[in-house]
Amino acid sequence: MNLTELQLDAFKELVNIGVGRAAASLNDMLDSHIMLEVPEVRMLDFDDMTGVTDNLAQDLSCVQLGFYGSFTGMAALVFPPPSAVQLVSALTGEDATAPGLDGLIAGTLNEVGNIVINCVIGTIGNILERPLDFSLPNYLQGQLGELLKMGDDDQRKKIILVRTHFTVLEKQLDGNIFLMFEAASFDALLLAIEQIHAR
Amino acid sequence: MQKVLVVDDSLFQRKSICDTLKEAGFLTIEAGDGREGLETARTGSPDYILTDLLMPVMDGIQFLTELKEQGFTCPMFVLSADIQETKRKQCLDLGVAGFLSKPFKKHELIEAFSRCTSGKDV
Repeated sequence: MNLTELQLDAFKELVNIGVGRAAASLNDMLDSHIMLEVPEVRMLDFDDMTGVTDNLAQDLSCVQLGFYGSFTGMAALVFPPPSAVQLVSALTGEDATAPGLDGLIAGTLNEVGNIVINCVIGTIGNILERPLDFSLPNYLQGQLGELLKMGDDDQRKKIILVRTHFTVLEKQLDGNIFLMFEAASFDALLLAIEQIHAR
Repeated sequence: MQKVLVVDDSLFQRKSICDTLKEAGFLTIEAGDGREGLETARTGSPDYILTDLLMPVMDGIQFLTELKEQGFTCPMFVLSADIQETKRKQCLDLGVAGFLSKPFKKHELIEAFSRCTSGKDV
């Protein structure tokens, strides 16, 4: 499947709106400005993550959430561990060096991931008028290639990968939002985009 | 004092919600999922119920449906990260008094309950 320039542009715009809404949510939670970079959209085979994971080689903290319905995929909110600690500290009011903070990280990040990812995907679903369901958020730590796995048959999958990097200077933290759409369900997404544009 | 049952699987979120409601003069009781919420609703006799949607064991939609079937008539609110219109409509069809989006703003949460206590729709 090849995307036309128009389809790619429409999809990017949709993602931009969703990510913008997610940034507004993070802004509300942290009361700090969120700097967003332009989302990078790539179509690739799942087992060809080279280039995506290269500059994120260290262990990372991640909340992932699957979505399914008219289109299927997985979204992940990914932080370098020091950023995850800063974020949880900022939200809970606990000192970043407090021994008890570790116990709060998974639960707090799960809720943050749930809110942020629902904003991105929910906004896309709302605009396209396609209802979606979500899995429960799942907190993981590890290498990016492992964190972004969707299932046992990943190697056979073609995916549309969206990556948006964000920075919260005031809180000294940064992270990435990854969206992965299964290409097999991307036709339905493109059809929905075209139907909305045709109105 | 009026009592609010807060149902959310996130401890962090429950604490934020309960702190806000307590500041506004409500008593709060808590549950971590819909099933626990049903039990706590039965034993705790809340005046209001506020629930998340995406939860393990029993999700918010099933929880609201069960409450309705079991004859609970107290005003119910949804506070969810799911911002889809279809989900909002599904909740309103189940008779909820208000649908709020996460992350919540303190004044919006308090206003929702205040409007309800003064008999107005949210």
